[in-house]
Order: sequence, then C-alpha cells, then structure tokens
Amino acid sequence: MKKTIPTDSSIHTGEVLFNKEVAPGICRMRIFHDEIARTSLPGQFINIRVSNNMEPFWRRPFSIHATHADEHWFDILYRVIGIGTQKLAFVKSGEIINFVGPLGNHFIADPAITKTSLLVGGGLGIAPMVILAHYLIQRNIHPIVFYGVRSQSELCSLPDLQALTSDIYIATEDGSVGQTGYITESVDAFLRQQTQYNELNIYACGPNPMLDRLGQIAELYHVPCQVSLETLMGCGIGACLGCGMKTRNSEKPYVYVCKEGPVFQAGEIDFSE
Amino acid sequence: MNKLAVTIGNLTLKNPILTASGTFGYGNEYAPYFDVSALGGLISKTITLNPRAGNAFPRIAETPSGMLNSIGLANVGIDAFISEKMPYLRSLDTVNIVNVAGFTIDEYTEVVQRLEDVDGIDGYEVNISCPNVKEGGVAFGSNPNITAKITANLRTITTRCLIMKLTPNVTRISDIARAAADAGADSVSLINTLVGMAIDVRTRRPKLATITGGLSGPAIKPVAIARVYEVAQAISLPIIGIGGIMNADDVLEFMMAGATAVQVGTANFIDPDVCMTIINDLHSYCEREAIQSVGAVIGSMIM
Ligand SMILES: Cc1cc2nc3c(=O)[nH]c(=O)nc-3n(C[C@H](O)[C@H](O)[C@H](O)COP(=O)(O)O)c2cc1C
Ligand code: FES
Repeated sequence: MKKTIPTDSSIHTGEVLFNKEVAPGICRMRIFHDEIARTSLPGQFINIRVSNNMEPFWRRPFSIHATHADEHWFDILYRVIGIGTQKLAFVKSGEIINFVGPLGNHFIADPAITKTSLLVGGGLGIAPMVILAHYLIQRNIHPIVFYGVRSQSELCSLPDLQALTSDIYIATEDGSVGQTGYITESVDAFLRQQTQYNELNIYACGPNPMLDRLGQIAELYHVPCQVSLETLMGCGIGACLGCGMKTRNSEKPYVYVCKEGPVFQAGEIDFSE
Repeated sequence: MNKLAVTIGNLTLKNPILTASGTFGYGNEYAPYFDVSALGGLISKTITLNPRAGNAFPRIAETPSGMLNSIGLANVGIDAFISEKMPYLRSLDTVNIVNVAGFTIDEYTEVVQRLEDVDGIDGYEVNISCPNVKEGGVAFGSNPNITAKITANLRTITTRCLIMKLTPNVTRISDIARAAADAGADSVSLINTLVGMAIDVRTRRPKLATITGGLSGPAIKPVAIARVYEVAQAISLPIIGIGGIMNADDVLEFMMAGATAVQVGTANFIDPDVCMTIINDLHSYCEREAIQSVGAVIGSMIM
C-alpha cells in the first residue's frame, strides 16, 4: 500500500491526567502531551515504558485512541491482561509516563475517492476508531461505525463515537445488545444492501480472525479494506525483527508490523497462521 | 585528549560503546533518537550472501529481565546491504563494523571478499555464534578448529580489524578464544546469546516457533562477565564484552572484568537512546573519579 512518512518519533514523557476503568477490565488513560495531541495520525501507536525496573522488560504498545489538540492531550484504551497492563492500571493521575512515539504508519483516507467509510472495531480494536472517525469527518468523509464485542458490558467510548456519528452498528456475541453474532456479519449485511460500492471503503482493527473474514467480505464487494494489526513487539522501532506477519507475497514473505504497519491492505496479509 | 578513547586492533574508538549486531538494525532505525555518530562504533545486523526472510513467528518472547529471540539471521543480503544500507553507514562519523556470517566455511570468505571492495567499512565482526540457524552459526563457533580455519581464511584476505564473535554455549570459551587469537584475529567479542526456551503453560506451546532461541538482556549479564573474565585470563587481545548492558555501571563492570570495549544490545529496544545516556554517564564517571583515560578501568578488578 502507499507508504506515507509519519511524524518523526522520539522518546517523550507526559503527565497522566486520568487513568480509569471504563468497562470491566478495560481502562482509559489520558496523557498530557501537546506534540502527540497535535501530530499523531489515526492508526499510529506509542510504546510505553510501564515500569522502571525490569518487570515487564519490554515496553508495551498502545494505539492512540483519541486526541485533543487544543487541550494538549491524547488517550489510550487498554484491557488489563498481563503484567504490563496490570502495572499500567495502577498508574495515578499526576504521575509521569515515559513513551516512544508516535510510531508506525497510519490509516489513509482519500476524500477524492471515498465518501463513506466503514470503521470496524472488534473489542479493543475500537481504540483507533475514535481518532480515525474524527480525522475522516475533517476530510468530509462520513464514518459509519461497526462495533463488535462479546457482551454489552465491554462497550467503551460510545459517547465519543456518538459525538462523531449517528451511524453506529453494534453486535454482541451473547446478544445482550445490538445484533447477535459477529460484527463482520453486520458489515456483510450492510454491504449487501448497497447499490453503489465505489465510494466506500473499510477500516478495521480487531482479532485476526475478524480481519481475515472482513478481508474476504471486502473482496467480495470490491471495497478497499485497510486493517490495523497487533503483534508482540520487542522494540516498536523496526530493530528487533520480532513483529512479523505472514504475507501473500512470496517475494516478501513477512511484513514487520511496527515499522511497515500497523496498517496494511487486508489483501496483503496471510491470516491463515 | 579524549578520555573515553580505546583501541581495538588498528581501530581507535572514540568511546568504548558499540552497538550489538541484530539490535541496532542498519543504524538509521535509531537516527530519530540520538546522534548515531556519537557511538564508539556501530555494528550492523548480520549480513549473509543471500537475503534471508528468517524463522517463522513467533520469534521473540519476553522473559524475566530479558528476552528470547530466534530471528534466524533475517537480513537483506549482501547486495542490498552494499547498495541500500552502506550509504547511510558511510555517512556517519563513527567506526563502522560489519557483522558477517556464512553457512559454509567458504561462504564467510566470500562475504568478506565482497565487502573488501566497499569503502567506509572499518572492520568485520564474524558471527560464528548464532544459535538460531541450522547450519553454521554455533556449530562453527563451538569448534576450535573451525574457528581457527575461518579466522585464518579471513586474515589472509583482509587487513581490516577482524573480530570473532563467540558463543557462550560451549564447555570452555577460552579454548575458542585462543584458537581465534592464534589464527590472527584482532579481537574477540562475547557473548552471543545463550540457548534458552520458554513454554506458555496455558496453551502448552513453546513461546518460540523454533522451540529454543537465544537469551539476551540483563538476565545474562553475570554469565557474560564470567566469560569475559575467563577469556581475559587466557589471551592478550582486546576483548569486547557483550551481554545485558543497560547502563554505564554495567559497562564499567565489563571493563573491570577485562573488556576493552562493550556492545549494547537488547537495551536499545527498551530505551532507543540508551547508548547516548551511557556515553554521557561514562564522561561524568571519568570526571568524577579524576580518571585520565577510561582505559585505566580495563582489568582493574581488585581481588
Ligand atoms: C533480536 C536479536 C537479534 C540478534 N541478532 C544477532 C545477529 O544477527 N548477529 C549477531 O551476531 N548477534 C545477534 N544478536 C545477539 C546480540 O548481538 C548480543 O550478542 C546479545 O543479544 C547479548 O547482548 P545483550 O544482552 O546486550 O542483548 C541478536 C540479539 C537479539 C536480542
Ligand atoms: S517490534 Fe521490533 S521490529 Fe517491530
């Protein structure tokens, strides 16, 4: 896909404005940092030094969730699952966080072609969709959000999304709210009803099986689909070569998610592994 | 006079801080974070004759105070290295050491031969110690005869600084170091990663697709210090210490054990500007301790 040159990354420190649980086991952290708030692009991430001692050893990458240039802050959204996010969840407002960023490429929008975009987030994959919806609106592209979770209690940042668009589709696996089932099937149903496809595109972030299925759906309707991937990251800056994903191109069997991504065309990636 | 300058073979390093191969890309990855020319020297990712995609994923795993990797010498290959990576490396005002590997004894010679015609290269670090490839690698570096053979072959074709990078996955590393020294190496660097393994107990699967990999980071520092000390007793060549360096105190520890210079590896992943911090802290150390040359620290452990 077209590569753009992202803003130069650096090592930063920023004050935590809040860090709170917004759904069971899911936290949102707000960090005061003018440069990131102004310059980061949707899909980019930061790599946080969670602890000053060795546990955990690596930094932890987080998508930029939302930014506010005038108020000089940006947010991340994370699920507390391992030692890194457990420690992060204990950080109090007023504390200083060390992070590297903004890192990675970003979602690309072309208002000359696209009039409406489908923003598909599965679980924590909703994280980049708030900053993305904001970005699209500034470019006169209409965002339609598709948000899939296991259960209603996991929904986060709905008010942020509702402030940006009234077109929000929700699917839950347990049927507690919205459509019952996977969000990909809601996207499929939506696309089936359309008569015109050439002004549409898809942006997606979530578990690999979701992205895989979505790529197939997008191909069926000939709609371009950009996906943001998540992998283990040892460095976040393209040095360790640990963050690969298999591609469908035998000439270049792997892409490195931190540097060449995290955003790729769905068709580039081989999700079969 | 530059208090931090040290000498390895025919090279003068402006300070003892080098970057460890495979942890610093081809240098430009770190340009956003500090002035890479401030390094004593830069050692780039291992280069092989042909490009290599590397091993299957997952190829990294986080471990206590360190990590495992089984990258498998993924690299752009010598042609792309010369045409795409050398221009940047050449533009830097620091010592440029190219790390090389082969899968046969002759391939080492072939790679170095190709690089001999390329200007802007100050030395070679010869990787005979990668634990993550099936042929070559550790198999060569754990055999003193093959180590001597590769060293001697390269010595006949180059006058550039020749550094043999040793594996700790052997019974007695000093035997290997002696073989390299006797065959004409200018220096030995140690240690490459230690063979390690981790299992995800929930899924019962190995954390690396290759099952085993190489352990690096602070977890291996005491092992590395012991190996550097052992080799320093055995040979008189300058030694480059590697393993778990996170700060200037770690550097001093390696030097006191007998290292002339050091390489910083995995720490670059955690703090991309860590080398700059270390160099500044070494300056402060020399000021504070009224040391005229950091060389005075080498082998200065008191018993
Ligand atoms: C991700 C990774 C890739 C590496 N790749 C190479 C390599 O290509 N060639 C090599 O000689 N050593 C390689 N190494 C070993 C390092 O150069 C170094 O010897 C080792 O990591 C110990 O130092 P450290 O604890 O400071 O990282 C690699 C290490 C890591 C962590
Ligand atoms: S995380 Fe290290 S290269 Fe991508």
